[in-house]
Amino acid sequence: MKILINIALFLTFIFGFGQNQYSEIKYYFKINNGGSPVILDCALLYNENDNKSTFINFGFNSIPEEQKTEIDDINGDLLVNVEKYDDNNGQKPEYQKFFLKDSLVSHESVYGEKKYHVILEKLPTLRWEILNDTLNILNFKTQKAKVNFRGRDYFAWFSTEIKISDGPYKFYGLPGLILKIQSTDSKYTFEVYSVKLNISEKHFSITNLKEKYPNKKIISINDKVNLIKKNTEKERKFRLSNNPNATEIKIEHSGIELNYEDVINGN
Amino acid sequence: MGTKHFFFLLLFTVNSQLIAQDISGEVKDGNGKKLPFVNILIKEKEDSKKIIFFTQTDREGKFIFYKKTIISIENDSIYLEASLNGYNEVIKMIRQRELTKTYNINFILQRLQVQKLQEIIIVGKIPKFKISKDTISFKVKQYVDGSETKIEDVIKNLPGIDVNSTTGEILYKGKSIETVTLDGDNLFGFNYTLGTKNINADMVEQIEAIDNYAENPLLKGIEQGGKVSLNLKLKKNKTNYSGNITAGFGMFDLDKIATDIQGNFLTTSAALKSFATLSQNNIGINHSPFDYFGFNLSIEQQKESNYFAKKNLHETIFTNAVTMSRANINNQFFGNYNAIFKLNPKLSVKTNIYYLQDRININQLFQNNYTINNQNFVTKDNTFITKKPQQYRGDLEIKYNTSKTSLLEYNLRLRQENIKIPTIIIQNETEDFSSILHTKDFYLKQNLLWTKKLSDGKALQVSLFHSFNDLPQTSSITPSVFDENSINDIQESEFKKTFLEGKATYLGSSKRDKYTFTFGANLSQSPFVSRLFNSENTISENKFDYSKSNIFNTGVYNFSYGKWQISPSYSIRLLNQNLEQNIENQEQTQNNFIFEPTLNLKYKLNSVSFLSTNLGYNQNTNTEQYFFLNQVLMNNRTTVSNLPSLNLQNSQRYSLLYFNNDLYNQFQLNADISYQKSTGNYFTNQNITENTTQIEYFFLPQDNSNWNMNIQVSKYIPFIESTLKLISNSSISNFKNIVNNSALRLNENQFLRNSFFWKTAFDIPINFENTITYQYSNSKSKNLSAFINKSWQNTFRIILKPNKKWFLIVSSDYYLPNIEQSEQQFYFLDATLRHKPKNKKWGASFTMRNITNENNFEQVQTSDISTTIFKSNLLPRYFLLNLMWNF
Repeated sequence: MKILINIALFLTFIFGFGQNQYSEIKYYFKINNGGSPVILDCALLYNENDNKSTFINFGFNSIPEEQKTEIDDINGDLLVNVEKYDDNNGQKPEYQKFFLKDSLVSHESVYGEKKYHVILEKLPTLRWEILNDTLNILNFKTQKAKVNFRGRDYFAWFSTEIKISDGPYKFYGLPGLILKIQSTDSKYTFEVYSVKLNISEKHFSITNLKEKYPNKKIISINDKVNLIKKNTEKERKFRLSNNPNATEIKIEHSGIELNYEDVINGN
Repeated sequence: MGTKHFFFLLLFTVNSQLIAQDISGEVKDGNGKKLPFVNILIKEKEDSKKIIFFTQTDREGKFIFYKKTIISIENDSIYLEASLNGYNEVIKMIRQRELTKTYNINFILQRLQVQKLQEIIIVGKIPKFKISKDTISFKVKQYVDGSETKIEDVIKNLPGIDVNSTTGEILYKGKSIETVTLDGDNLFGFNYTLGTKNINADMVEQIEAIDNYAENPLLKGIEQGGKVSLNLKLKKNKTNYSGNITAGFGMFDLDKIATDIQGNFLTTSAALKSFATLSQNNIGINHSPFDYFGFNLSIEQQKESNYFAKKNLHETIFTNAVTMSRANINNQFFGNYNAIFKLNPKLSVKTNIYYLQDRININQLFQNNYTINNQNFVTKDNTFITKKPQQYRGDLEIKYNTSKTSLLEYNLRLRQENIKIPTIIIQNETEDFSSILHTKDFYLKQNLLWTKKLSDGKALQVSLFHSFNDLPQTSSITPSVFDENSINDIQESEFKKTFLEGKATYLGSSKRDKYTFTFGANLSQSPFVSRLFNSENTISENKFDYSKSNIFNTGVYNFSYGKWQISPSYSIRLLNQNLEQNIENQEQTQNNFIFEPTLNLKYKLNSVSFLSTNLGYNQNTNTEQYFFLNQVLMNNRTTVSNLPSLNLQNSQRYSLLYFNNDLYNQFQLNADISYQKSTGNYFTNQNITENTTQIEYFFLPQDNSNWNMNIQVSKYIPFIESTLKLISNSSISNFKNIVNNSALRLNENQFLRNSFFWKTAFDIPINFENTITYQYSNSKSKNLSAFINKSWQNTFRIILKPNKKWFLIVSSDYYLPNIEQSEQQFYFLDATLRHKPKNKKWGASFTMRNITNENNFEQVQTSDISTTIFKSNLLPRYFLLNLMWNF
């Protein structure tokens, strides 16, 4: 990947602590279940003063045409149905971390549900293991770390040069910003492509999901787990009753979170 | 970047507690306030960025490294760094660390001066990818329980996919698929049922449903979209081949042996992909794509029907309402080999070879109760038919990439089919006839196609096509129908057809629209000869030459705008027809300028449903079967003749379709309504007596019209753990005819068929499925009484699965062909027991069919002049023990 380095230095004189400082880090989210990958555009917005951040998945449409190119036909293994990213009726997945309150609020799709839900959970406990490897990403020196989160193992590359203990999606808690994180089977990858630090409030703001979707009832993560169970069972029965020959159906979930043992067993 | 302040402090704090041998401490700011979320890093070198361990301070500003965590550090000296965004970093060193000691290290961090905070912007480039939105994939193992089903059974279950149970035709989202590819390779073409009916489900890893399928990779994205296909992704075995053998042996009730043997073999490698199947059975199964039991055309035959000569003389068979597997008394041998060789990156050769041989025994009774011009009479024919078809066929396809942007394809097909049908007929329970119909069918087809991709959105195609079909038939009926002194009558009939076509097509596409223009010309010549004679004289002769030519231009335009998809198309042609009756020295010529527009509209209501409408106008020539003047003898009682006309038939059609597939709510609804009216048709003038039926076809510029309505609703109801489905088809047809010297009669046929389906999905080992069907038909002629028939049908199945290895299905079918005659009822019972040991490569099954041993089946049909009762014999009761082995 070619790196265009465009450093603009602005001296901002800030009097007092009145203005909020934000950092905007843009990632691309690559889902690669074999064959051709799906690339989605995402952004992490970090508010230093309030110790909170939001991670938004803008989807496929926001990538400008010039930055897209052709690839050859599929000959790999699985392909994800991309339609669900294009036609969400304007719904965007969003994840907000409130570090002071130790909580995480998500706005995302739940298996079998037509509309997105707003889900409240405790910030998941991530037991990072620091590894020796280092890597240069976007000219930042990064070190590798490993974690297991909800059924998947991930490798993350973080840089202490950016002292933000945050990262894409639900990942956080390393001594520097996570510039890249990838599941060990390479199916899910978040990688940075743009970093903007110390931007003043004029350009950004984080609206709490509760206020953004006032008509949506906030559910707990246990509610989400139960919804998934219920819808999976409904789908299994539906397929069973439409199926003239086979008498056993298995539904496999292949999303980024495979199990919720940390929630069921208590953090 | 910020400045660093280095503090070197050696702190030894010995903690008397021997239990805690960790490193802990506290972090405060310059004002003594506790600082949470401060990163505490352990490093081996002071100026290195490399971290060995880390932790964060809690809300009290406290941190701890437990001994068991840091015990692996080799260095005696380590550095602790406290860092927080917006504050200076502080590094402290622990020199000559002792493992038994507990260390308490505190930090004080100073806030950085604000003007040092600079806005930093670094931008890289997002990798370039364009995603194909057109493919949805299904994992096969989610739809099957490891039983030895064929992949067609799995395909039937996929959402959005319908399979026609008779022909095997697959529809995806309402559209007929182009083909089923194997790992991207098109091995079968339109005869994809060879793959779907024979490849085992456990050879396949995934099934992909592909929108906007383009067989020619040069045309991908340029071609009119909307073609759909399925792709089977095969399991990657350690070896390059896989296959299965099934051997079934059993007994019929009458001490005849029942057999069902099949072997399939699949090879996949970089240079060669092949699939071969060999089968023999006498239990009524058709393993081939060709239907010799009924008159169903395969998908391929339907698409090519324009190139075939007409089969004038037919055996008299009707198709059963019961499934083919009950009524097809056969002895079929079928072999097929398909292979694609990739000789080099530019050249690939595909070959398909077919051989079929069958012997079908049919015993049928036709009883017609006529009411014509207030006269009632009955005709009865009891027929014993032995149909012996034989087919040899070879296809060859060569694809050569002459350059990166051009492709040359050559297709060749040769087919020879011979059908011998000896028949014995007992007419009206008094007279005996025997006949033999011998049909030979030779077919040659070749096609040369050149595709050139001119640019990203433009392409050109040039094609040359030639086909030749020769269909000589001979039928001999004993004793003679026409002459007492003659032993037999012989009817010879031969249709030939030669078709030539050349055309050039220009294709273009841009972001929103696609267009195609074609210019071309075609010529078809259909000569016909027939002769009906016996030892005494020649009764009737025909000889004509019919030729038809077109110079044509067609255009298709497809435009997407928001939720709309609009597709108008047109066809302009100069048609010339010439019919020479050589015996009578008559000639008819006709030239027409024809304009045929069509409009397709589709509106996407939301992500799960759409509405589409289709309007079209066509002008068609009539089939050459209506062009012979003098009578041809069809069977012991029927002769046909025509008053030919070259006039065209104009037809308009309108249709509206609503499609809703809401998988979130497990709900599906399809409804469509269509109306077709054709002006200018051939009507029949029939003269029917107890012993003879004379039919004359003549052309009138009169209308026939047809309304058709279909609804299919299905919903899964969680409360009763079942899926309920309601299917309703109905049609109203208006047509005209003349019977026994009547005036032109106006007739109407009404038809209704309603089906209700219920299948349970309980978690217990037993489940049920039931389908009940009601059928109503009403045929009448204006001012006369109607012929009405109502029938019921019910199928009930019990599915038992006590564990993963055993599987039992018991199925019963009940038929009441005519409510008015409740004593005529038919009741069938079948059972299948399957055993498949887990992870073993073999399986076994035991089948019993027609346990109640119904030996014939009756069906009632109405027309504007009669009620007809068809009775035919069935396969007797049999049992079969089947062993399967996969490798």
